[in-house]
Formats: sequence, C-alpha cells, structure tokens
Amino acid sequence: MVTMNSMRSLSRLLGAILCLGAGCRDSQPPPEDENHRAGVLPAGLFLAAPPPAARDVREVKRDPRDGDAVVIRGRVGGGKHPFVPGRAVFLLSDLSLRPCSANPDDRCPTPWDYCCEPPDRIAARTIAVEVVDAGGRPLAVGLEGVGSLRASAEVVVRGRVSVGPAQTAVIRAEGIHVGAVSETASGSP
Amino acid sequence: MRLLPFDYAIRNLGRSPHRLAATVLGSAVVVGVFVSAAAFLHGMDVGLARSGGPENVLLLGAGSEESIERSEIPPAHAGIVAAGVRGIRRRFDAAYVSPEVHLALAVSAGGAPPRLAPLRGITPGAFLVHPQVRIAEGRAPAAGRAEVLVGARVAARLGVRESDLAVGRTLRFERRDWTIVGRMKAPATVMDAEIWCPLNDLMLAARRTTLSCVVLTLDSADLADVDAFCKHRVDLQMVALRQQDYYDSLREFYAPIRLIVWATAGLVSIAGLFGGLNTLYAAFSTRIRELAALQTLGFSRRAIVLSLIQEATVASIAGALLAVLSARVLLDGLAVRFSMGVLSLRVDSGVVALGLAAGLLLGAAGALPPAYRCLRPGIPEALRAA
Repeated sequence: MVTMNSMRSLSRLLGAILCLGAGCRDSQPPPEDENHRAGVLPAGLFLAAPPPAARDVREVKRDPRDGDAVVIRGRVGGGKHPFVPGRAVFLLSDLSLRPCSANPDDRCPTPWDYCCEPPDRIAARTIAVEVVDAGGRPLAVGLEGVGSLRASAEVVVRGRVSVGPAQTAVIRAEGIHVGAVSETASGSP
Repeated sequence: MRLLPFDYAIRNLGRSPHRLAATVLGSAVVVGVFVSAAAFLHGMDVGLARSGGPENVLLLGAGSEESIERSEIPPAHAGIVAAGVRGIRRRFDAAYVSPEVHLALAVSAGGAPPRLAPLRGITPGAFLVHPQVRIAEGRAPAAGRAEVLVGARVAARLGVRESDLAVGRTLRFERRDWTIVGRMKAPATVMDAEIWCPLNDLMLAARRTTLSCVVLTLDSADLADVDAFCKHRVDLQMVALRQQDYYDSLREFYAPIRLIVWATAGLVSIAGLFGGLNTLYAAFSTRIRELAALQTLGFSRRAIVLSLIQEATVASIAGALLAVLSARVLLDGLAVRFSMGVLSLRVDSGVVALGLAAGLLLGAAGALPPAYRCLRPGIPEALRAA
C-alpha cells in the first residue's frame, strides 16, 4: 500500500536524481551575448575609407602584443576556404604572398590558397581576423559576401591584437575597409 | 475500346515452351546484368555513406582535403586540438579524439603472395569515434607487441581463406610478422576491410613521423567552432571538414566509374533487347493471320497491341523475378575487391524494385516494334499471309 511517507520519500529521491542530473552536465557554456545569438554585426563595421598607417601581416605577426591597437592590410586568403561558414572569422594573408593567378598560364580555381607557395611561408604570413561579441566569442554570422568581402579581396582592418596559446595572434576587428591597397613589397624577400 | 481477355495473352505464352523459356532466360540475363551493376554501385554508395560518423569532424593537413593518405599532421597536434576545442564529446573524461595513420602496404598471409591492403594506426580513442566498429572475436591490439585487429573483409582483400586470418594466425608486412589478436566487424563501411594496429607500432614499422588525420566527435561544438580553431591556429596548418563530406567527395571521385558501369550495363541491356526483339518477332510473325482475324472480329489494333504487350511483359517479369531472386541469393553481401578496399554488393529492396521495373520496361518496349511490324499490313493482306 502506498503511504504518504513513501510518496514523500519517492518525491525527494526523484528531486535528488534531477538535481544530480543537472549537476552532472559538463561545464555550462557561458551566457551568450545577444549579438552572438542573433549573429548581428556591429553597426559601422565596414568603413568607407581605409584607416591610415596600415601595417603588413608579416610585420604584425613578427612581434604581436596582446591588446595592442593595430591597422593591418592584406588579401583575404591563405587556405582553400578562407571564411568560416556561420562565424565572423576569415583569414588575411600578407600581400607578398603570390597568388597562383599571377601566373597567366595557371588556371587554378582557388588562387587565394597560394598553393604555389611553401606551406610554412603561408602560415607565417597569414593571420585570422574575427569580429567578436562582448564575451570575446566570434559572432555567429558568416562574413563571406558581406560588405563585398570575398576571397582574394584586399582589405584594411582596424582592430586589436589578441595573443593566444603558442604566441598565435588573432586580430579582433573593429573596422574593415574592402578595396585595393598599395603593396609595400611583392614577391619573396 | 474492347480489350482482349488477359488469359488470351497467358495461353499464347504456352504455345511454344521453348520460345517462352528463351524469352524468360533472355530477360533474366539482361535484368541480371542490370541488377549486378545496381548492386555494385549501391554497395559503393552505402559503404562510403556509412563510413563517416554524422558528428565526426576530420582534421587533415592543409592542402590535403581530398586525400587522407597524402595528409601529414605532427603527432602533438592531436593533444593541442583535444585541449583547445571546447565541446568535444567526452566519456568519463576520455575525449572522443582519435589520431590516426592511414597507409596502404603490401600484406601477405596464409602463404599467398602479398597484396596492397589498407592499414590504420589507432589509439583506444578510435573505438569511441568509430562506433560502427565492433570487436567480434578476441581483443584490441596492445602497443609494442606487433599485434593487429583484422576486419571481416580483409580475407577477400588479401585473397586468402577466412581460416588464414583466424585469431592467433599471423600477417606479414614491413618485413615483420604481426599476430592477429582480434577480428572486427564494421558492416557496410570501409573499415570492414582494414587492418588496425597500434598507432606508434605502425608509425615505427613504416618509418613515418606524422599522422594522417585526427578524428573528433563533437558534442556541443559544431564544425564552425573547429574550423575557427584551425584558422586561429594557422601555425598548425590543419583544415577541418565533416567526415561525411570527405566520403561524399570520394563518391564524386568515383563518378567516372559509375558512368562506365552504367554504360556497360546499358550496352548489354541493348544487346539483350535486340535478342528479345528477334524472339518476339519470330513469335508474333507466325500469328499475323490470327491477329488479322481478331481485327475482323472487332478488336482494334490498339487492343491487340495491348495484349501482345501483356504477353511479352509477363514473360519478361518472370525472367526479372528469376534474376532478382538469384541476385539476392548469390550476390547480396558478396565481397568485391575495389580500389584500396573491399565493397559488398547490396541487393536490397531498392535494387530489387529497379530490377523488376527494368523487366517491366523490357517487356513493354520489347513488344512494340514486333507488334507494329505484324499489324502494319492491311487486313486482307494479312489474312492471305502464310
């Protein structure tokens, strides 16, 4: 016969199991920023004019300092797929990297991967650019095609350097200008 | 329109048992070739579709997205990825991360000459990320003891008997004997034809210093998170793609082979169709006067053509049934060596339906030209025919 006491014990046991189950989940993800959830890019992200005093990618990567404000110029590329679908992240390569399309006989369909260059040289002259939310997480929106951003496009980015593990630097963009930029050097030094 | 009764068509089939047998067998051969082609291609599709875990992400060396065998990743990267990517599935604090080496080496067993076979160097994490794999006999290989785990289709790959790959027997590759300590099953996947051994043992034996790939199973993370990690860590020179997308790209790679297989089946079918046309023409031409007589009785040419189609279709469907039943018994699950692995022919409900539809089409299409030839003459001319 089910008594009141046994019902209370059962409900306490069920409550304990539920609490244990909730507590046993892997660490909860941090609370999401509204912009991250909605994938909304900040207003004024894309600039009409390039910011002045732009530096090359290889120069910024040589001595990255966490938190430094920087204006960096380059070409979108450094891999077969330089954009991350669904995330505000893309690769920016130094203008000294020679795209396959620079050779008139080359019919490479993805000249922005610089497959004619040695992989180590590509890695040393390519940096990730991201647009983040207040929590430092990349916004959940793709950037390809937004504001004329596409592979091989020349861009100038204003932002801050973020240095992570193994001294790897990432640029947290605050402003992006898409348009032809002047090269400081071309070809291999 | 007044139609001829269905049993008229059935009774006509019995007029010449030899001719009926020829029609049925001819149809069986044509449909059999068609079903064999479909079973081969379906087996290839299923094998590639089931080899990729739905939540698995493959990390490959940059520039090697199309070939695991060409990819190179330093071994330390597996640990960096496991620590750096949040949202990888875990069980009792073991991350679902599998560093692997994929090689094709000449392997011999049971005294047979060596043949190229796919080998995979693994760690215990492989059994987490590849749940399709089940150890059916024995145990997983231990490191440092020259032990291997052999897939169910490896015997077909090497051209040896199953008993030559029993637990306790040995394989030979890289100038060394390896003891089989277990047999595994991973039905309808590429892993079913692979030989698995401890990662470090294989790397040492093959004098290889890099991994081919790292396989992750994601939990709360998605592909974009792993992709973003690879782009942040451009120094690691890795790319991320869904494991299933990798196998889908292999299916596209085999598209010319699919075309050749269908073209061959098509050519054989056309040859069979012409043979059938000859047989049916011979059958119908002896009945020109009978068909003319039916017209005088008020049956239209359309009704007669319909009856001839029924006759031809019943015979061809009988042949198609014979073909699909034989294929189901003889071909379903048959291992065929293909490229670097083994695929299993699959005769499932879809392939059976395709075979029966082919038989139906064969009967309908095969009856039309001879029917047209036999009904073309006018009634008086046809009644005077010999």
